[in-house]
Amino acid sequence: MKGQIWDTKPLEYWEKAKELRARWEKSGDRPDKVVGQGNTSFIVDWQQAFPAITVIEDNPRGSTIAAKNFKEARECRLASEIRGWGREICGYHGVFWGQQFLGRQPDGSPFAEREFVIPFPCVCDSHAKRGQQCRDFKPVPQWQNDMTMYLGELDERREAPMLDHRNYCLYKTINDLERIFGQKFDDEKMVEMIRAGKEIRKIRQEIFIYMTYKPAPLSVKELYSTYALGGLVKLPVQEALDFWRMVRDEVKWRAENKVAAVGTERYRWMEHHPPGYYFLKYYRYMEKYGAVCIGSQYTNFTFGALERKADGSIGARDVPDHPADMPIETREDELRYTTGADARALSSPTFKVDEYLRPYALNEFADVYGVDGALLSIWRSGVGCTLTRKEQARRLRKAGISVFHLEGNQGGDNTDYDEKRVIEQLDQWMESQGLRKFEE
Amino acid sequence: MITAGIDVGIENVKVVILEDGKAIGRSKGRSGGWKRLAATETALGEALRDAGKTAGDVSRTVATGKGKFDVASIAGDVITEPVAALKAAQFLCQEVTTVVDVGADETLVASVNEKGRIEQLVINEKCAAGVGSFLRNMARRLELSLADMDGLPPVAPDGSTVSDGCIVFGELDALNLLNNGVSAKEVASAVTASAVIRVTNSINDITVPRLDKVVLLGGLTKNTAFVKALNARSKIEFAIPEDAEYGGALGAALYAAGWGDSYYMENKTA
Ligand code: SF4
Repeated sequence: MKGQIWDTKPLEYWEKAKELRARWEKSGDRPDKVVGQGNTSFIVDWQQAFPAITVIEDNPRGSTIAAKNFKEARECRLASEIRGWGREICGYHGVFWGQQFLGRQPDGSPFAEREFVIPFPCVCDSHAKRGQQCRDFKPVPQWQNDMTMYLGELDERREAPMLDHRNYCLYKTINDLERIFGQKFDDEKMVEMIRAGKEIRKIRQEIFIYMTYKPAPLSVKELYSTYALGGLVKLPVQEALDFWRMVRDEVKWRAENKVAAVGTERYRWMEHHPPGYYFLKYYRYMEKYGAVCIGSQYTNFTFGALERKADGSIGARDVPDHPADMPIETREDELRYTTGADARALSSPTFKVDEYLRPYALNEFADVYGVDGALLSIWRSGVGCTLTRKEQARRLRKAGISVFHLEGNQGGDNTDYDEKRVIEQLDQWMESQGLRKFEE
Repeated sequence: MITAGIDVGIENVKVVILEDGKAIGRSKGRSGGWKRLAATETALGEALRDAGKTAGDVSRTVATGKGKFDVASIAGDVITEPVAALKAAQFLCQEVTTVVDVGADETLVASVNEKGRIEQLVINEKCAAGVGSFLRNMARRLELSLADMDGLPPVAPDGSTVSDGCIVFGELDALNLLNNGVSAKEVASAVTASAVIRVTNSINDITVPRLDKVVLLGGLTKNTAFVKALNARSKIEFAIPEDAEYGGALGAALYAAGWGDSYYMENKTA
């Protein structure tokens, strides 16, 4: 390879990841299952404790279509638009909902009709709109996957009643699903998932620490093909756990032996949220300059954030969590654990507080990963993926990080994306950093 | 050593011929849309004539600008616009601390650190693209020459404004003002003020400003109404060197001549 500085070799877990992902792509909307839509998983995907219920998450499906099939993505978005879902809607949702309107999946098979919907509220209104879209299409029941969200610092007094409310909602959702669809919720499986979820989180944080090494043993390009496995991309619990152990072991070995994800690494850059899925080739393009994308605020919160400790070392961000030996004996314990872990240990202190602290959160990321530059997109739609970008850019610049913007609609919508302009600007950015492309 | 620098812009192609650190020939012509290569060949010929040289005298040719890849058959190498602008600014004004290059299409702002390297780089957002083209088109619509616009106040005295976001909106606003009986000069002031706001927004995105010596380059340096309004709004006293309009081409010619450090890290393979 031109410009190779570090040893590199293909990832061994890659084939397994591909296999799991392909299975997931085919698995969701099976005719023998009750199919719902929405979000049931942050840390513990509780819907898997039902024997024959599956809940499809819009985002990974929408982004997969946007990445793999431009023509289908466009058809889907147009189908959403003519029903009044304008271009301000998140591209993933425009695409995903379009499948429902067109009545087909990307492979041409029929779209399985949804029998219920579980949206969740978010700083991004597109997430909350998911319930409305589904119920406008067909009058199905809706349960709200509520979140303990508020602006401001973490506040135990505010959080406690909100968690009570969440537990109650989840309790009721599960009871209702049992009653309506005649299925028994498997509490033992739920406990197994809670334990596994906790371990997966720990493993992922270990992987993240290895990613701070130079050269990076894993870049975000590989991570994005993997990170949703066992989370938004649903897998049987033991399989998810085994998979993540395998990833961790390989990444650890690579980090310790200086085997790089990208043999040309000489510049490190970061993003904020998921990429334009119709333009994943920019990761490879930047590698021609020796520039490697190391992650984003998004990977940071989905994997569990890192922080610099008082002694200068880097470690997993300290967040309030349940004690490891907390007994889980009743369904209420399960749910308290789930909503607590989900609201406090995973999504809240990283995602929610990062939303509040967003303008600062990237600076911490840049410090921990030794980042040289940041590419922050300014999308015209999908509020949640664009909120505070310019503020973030200003703060990063002040900290000496070179920032560049990339413009378009949203990661799942290439309507206004000018690829040639973006490539030209990437060239300008990289050259301003003193880097020239290695010969092709 | 004689080198040529070519700046292939959206509207104009400019060429500078450099001999031993001195610009000895220049030319400027329309960049010709899809006929960029032919337009560039013509401009290069004119610049060589201006310099009293022939193509065979030129040791190295480097291109920059949006159409740089379209002239690969002429240029031995290409460099991006920020590096070309920096080279030109440093050559024209040794103490440069920030360079602002406003062209037909793009506004580029680069602050320069003590080592002479780009510290922060800002390029306009897409909505704010085309500042130079916008001003030229509006002047044509308003039937005002650059000389007519010379004495314009930096903001319209009657308070007329046009959109400083999207240029399409700006143009429609301007037409509405005309339809409502606002004079062409008032409208021209409003249009110029909107262009200036777009440019100052990019300047303000530099979070650690280095304003000791701000060099202004690009075609708009010839538009005195724009420059005055930009001075007034940004409160920056810009240095506008004589060859400011030819900044990109000059930077490319300097790079071709190996003037200053190479700017780029060496592409080594371990
Ligand atoms: S715009 Fe971003 S935050 Fe909002 S729904 Fe889409 S992916 Fe989520």
